Amino acid sequence: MEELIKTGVARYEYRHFIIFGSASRFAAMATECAGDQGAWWEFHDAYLLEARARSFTRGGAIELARDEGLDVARFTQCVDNEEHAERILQMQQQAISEGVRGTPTFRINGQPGARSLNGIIEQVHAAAEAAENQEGS
Amino acid sequence: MLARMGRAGVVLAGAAVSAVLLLAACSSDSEEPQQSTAAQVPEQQQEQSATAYAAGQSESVEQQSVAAADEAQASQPEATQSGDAQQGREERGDEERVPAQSEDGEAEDAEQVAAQAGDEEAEAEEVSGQDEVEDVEEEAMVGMIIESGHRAGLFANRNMVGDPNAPIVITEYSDFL
Repeated sequence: MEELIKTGVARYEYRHFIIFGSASRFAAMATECAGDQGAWWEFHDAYLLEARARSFTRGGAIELARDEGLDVARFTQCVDNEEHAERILQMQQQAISEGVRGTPTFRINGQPGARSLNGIIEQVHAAAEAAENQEGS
Repeated sequence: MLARMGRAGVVLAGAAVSAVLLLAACSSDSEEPQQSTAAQVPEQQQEQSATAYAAGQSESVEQQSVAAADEAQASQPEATQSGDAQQGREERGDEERVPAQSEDGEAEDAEQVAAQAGDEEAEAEEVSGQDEVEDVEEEAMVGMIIESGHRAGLFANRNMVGDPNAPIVITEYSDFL
């Protein structure tokens, strides 16, 4: 997957789809607030890969922001004011309109994606070949 | 400081200045630390204000100005990030990627917002305009090259990573829990 992205064949987008309630919603908002300061992926990894459970609380998220060297006051204000609530809601509504019902759900150029990593990679290669063939013809 | 004052006193004595003058000089010099202490008070107050601001207390209009100033400062780290990322872009020949992103509608929105902000007269409207400009600045600053980790060297814009012009878009809808 990384190779596909690094070689410019594909780009990857993560979209919030909140199904586990307020803690998930808070984590999404904290990530967006971190994104304001260029640390979206650091928070994504902390939540999703490192499983930093404390980060799902306000205090834990602030601690994480401090660890990442963010402007903590600005981050805290963003989280407390729920500045990105509308953005997350829009993502959710758009996902529902596109037929997303659960997580994780993948789309490859808008088409339903496989559930496995290998399946997604195969789909991306197939889509890339199709795009090349279209350009050639 | 006291040792310096003592040396100054010897010099003054050598110049046949009276002991009274010496003592007076010492006493006047001794005010310097007090002055410096007094000068530190505003700094302490500033620190306290910053602490209160960080604690999420009620925000006045003045504090909003502080926040706006913080926003302006926040754009400087962006420049730093861009500068740091410059090397990576040069290596990968990605010079055009950031400008390409600025060709989005967001850039047009930024111009519109900036123009609107210039036309605003009412103070409340100015605050609103500043907020809009800040939003645009925030949007602009998130596009950058990731510097470390397994995505190092990749362009990222908030929830997107990879070449913005890549023909294939992999979208994941997910929940952190």
